[in-house]
Amino acid sequence: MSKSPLEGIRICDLSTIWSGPFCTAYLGGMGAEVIKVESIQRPDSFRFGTPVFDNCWEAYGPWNCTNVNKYSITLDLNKPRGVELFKKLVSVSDVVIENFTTRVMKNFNLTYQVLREIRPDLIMVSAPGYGMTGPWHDHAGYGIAFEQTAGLAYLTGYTDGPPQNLGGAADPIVGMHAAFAILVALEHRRRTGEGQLIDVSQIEALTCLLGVPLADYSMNKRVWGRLGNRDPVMAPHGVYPCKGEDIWLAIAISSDEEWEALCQAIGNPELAGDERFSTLPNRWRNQDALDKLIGKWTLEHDCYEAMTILQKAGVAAGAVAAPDTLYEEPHFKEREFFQELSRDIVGPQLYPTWPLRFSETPLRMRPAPKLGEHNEYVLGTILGLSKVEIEELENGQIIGTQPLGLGGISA
Amino acid sequence: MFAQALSGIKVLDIGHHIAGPYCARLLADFGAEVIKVERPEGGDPSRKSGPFPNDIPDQEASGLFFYLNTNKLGITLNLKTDTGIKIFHELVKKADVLVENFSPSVMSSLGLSHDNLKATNRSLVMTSISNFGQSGPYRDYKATDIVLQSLGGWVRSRGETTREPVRAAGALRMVEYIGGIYAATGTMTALTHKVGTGMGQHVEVSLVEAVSTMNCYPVAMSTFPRNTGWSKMRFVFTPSVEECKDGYVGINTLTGAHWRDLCALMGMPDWAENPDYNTLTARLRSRGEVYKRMNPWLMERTKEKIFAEGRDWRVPVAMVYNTEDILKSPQYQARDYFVEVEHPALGQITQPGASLKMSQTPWQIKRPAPLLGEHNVEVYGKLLGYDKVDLVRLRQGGII
Repeated sequence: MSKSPLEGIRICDLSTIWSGPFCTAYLGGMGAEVIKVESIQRPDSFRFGTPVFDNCWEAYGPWNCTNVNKYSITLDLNKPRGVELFKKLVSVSDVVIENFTTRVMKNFNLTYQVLREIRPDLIMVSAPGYGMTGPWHDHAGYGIAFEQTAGLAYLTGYTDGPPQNLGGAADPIVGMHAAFAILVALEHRRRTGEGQLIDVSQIEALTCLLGVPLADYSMNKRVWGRLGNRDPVMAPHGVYPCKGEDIWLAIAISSDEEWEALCQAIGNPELAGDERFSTLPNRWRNQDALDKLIGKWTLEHDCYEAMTILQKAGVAAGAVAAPDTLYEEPHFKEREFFQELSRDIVGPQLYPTWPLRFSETPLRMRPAPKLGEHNEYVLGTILGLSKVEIEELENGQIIGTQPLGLGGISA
Repeated sequence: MFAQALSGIKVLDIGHHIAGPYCARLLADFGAEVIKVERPEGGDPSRKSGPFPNDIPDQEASGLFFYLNTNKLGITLNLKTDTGIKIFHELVKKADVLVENFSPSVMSSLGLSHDNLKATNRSLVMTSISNFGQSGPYRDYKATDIVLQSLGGWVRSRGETTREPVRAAGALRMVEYIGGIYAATGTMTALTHKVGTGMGQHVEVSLVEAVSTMNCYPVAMSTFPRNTGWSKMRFVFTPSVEECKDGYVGINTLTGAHWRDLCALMGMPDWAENPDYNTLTARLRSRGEVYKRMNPWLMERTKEKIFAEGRDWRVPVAMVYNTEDILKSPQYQARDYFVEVEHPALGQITQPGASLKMSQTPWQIKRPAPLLGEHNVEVYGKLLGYDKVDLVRLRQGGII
């Protein structure tokens, strides 16, 4: 098997929740040695999403998904010894990534300026929500807040309703941008020996998806709004009810040929001759009537059966799949998008991977580590501490494997 | 101009619409030399898509094509001719990366499968983006943004429980951009591998799988069955978007502490610990009552004021911005986010700036999107050594 692309790259990962961890999980799967740094005083708050039970901080599905392919250590950065060891780790790391608000790294005195003294060619990613500078630099936020600020929520929702949340897409989108930037920075370092600081503003990365509406505003002073499931250049276009409760099928018709194919497929060929629907502008104007006609057909069909009929006829159609059972979807199954990993406490589970396949360097999935699982490996093997020194750290609660308190998310 | 991180890396972009071109654009923004290859007749179909200035269609003035192809050189080449294919192989020989997003069968039918191209250039990184990936039962299915969002499990998680579920970001075609970002990251991963080994490889991106990673919480819940109830919920409250005096705000309470702080902020401390309201599921049940109490408070305040008060109480509220609001936002402005790009057919257009600020190798705009075939002479001449007579002949033959 070919060498993994990022073999030999060590990443020191202070990031929490989803975006930073999503980035490093991918890089870990591509061969980087990712060392996740938490503390028993403040583990990643994202661990606490389950009811309280023994070892519950090791059981939360989303955390376990987002922290595959990593090593885990604990270090209390509020104690000088913890900071000292962290700096020692940075001195042998290629990349540091963090996504706190800006005051946190300042308080620890672990800013890029400080860390660069220890490791001159360091690549550091700082990803506070709104960026490292500007009036909001210290304002806390989460994915959904960034989607709202960046202009994405405004475009989402029914035509006759308020904007809606996207539900956290900001995190993986920004995480992938960060992974891209790290790879770009590694290439620059390879050429010049120079590291750099990557200042990630989540809202800025997201607004990069809005270049087209911004261009429209520049050209025509048009402000894009909500369209529900409709589309400016396609009709019919939407989700249609199928047999069963709350089961839907998406259909999108982009040309007259597809429209005719749809009419044939739903056993209503004379519809194609109906003048109300003969051209895209006509179909667009008469969408309400059109949706009712199509809905009547879909309602009599099983969703996947209807999808197959329409796809066979060359019509873009797709079941509105349930996210929590995607692993049963035949297409996802055959492509092995979900991979089974066995982890203590939760046993074998299916974990999503990435929408990427590499012909020569396949992704390597390892289950998420337990809190502090690699304290000995990292502090002993990598940093050269003796058994006695590691014991002292344990006794002083600078490292450990059990959180000192259970705090965090209980939505 | 100083060298950028990816200076000297040659990328052939035979992508069309959004996903492929956006991938190549991300590489171009950090210095790669991207050659956009279009068919001579009409070019990239995105040239036919608006927005256009004053809504007058013009293949040189598409806002969509402009945004996706800034920083690229543009050439034309007819891949449906033998000469076109021969020239394409010559280009591939000089390239580090090839980006394409045709349906999976197209490249093979042109004789340009990864195996064929590998024979021409062993170190080529070929990045293929498609709706469903290069394999699997849905491989050749037709799809658009809403179909991908649906099959990827994203649409199911959004909308009122009493109505049809609703897709994300309306007409934006967000999924294709996301595919472009994944493709750029995958391409850089493969380039990193190539540096170490001299070996190229085939990178493929599946848009429907990209969608499933966007819906992270519900998809991830499947790994631990105890949590599936949560993932079946379509509408959640709060977190949710709510109307205020002059627009909308996001009330983004994710933890118990957020709800307690929100109750303090809104002057309803008696609800902080009340089990009828202090969890997500309870609030959803008592939605009417919560609105009754929350709405007057919201409607008295502008989004600016709610955002400011939220900061003081450390409740993650956010203003729901539209494109006009974003342009006026003090945070984007303080960081000099937006850039003005001058284009011969479009005039001056305000555009998003860098996706990330890199201290040593910043993102740059070097040139606007190319006119159709604008750099034929430059690329075919300088890179492949064709002279004027050759180019006239190719033009007359409908090759370029």
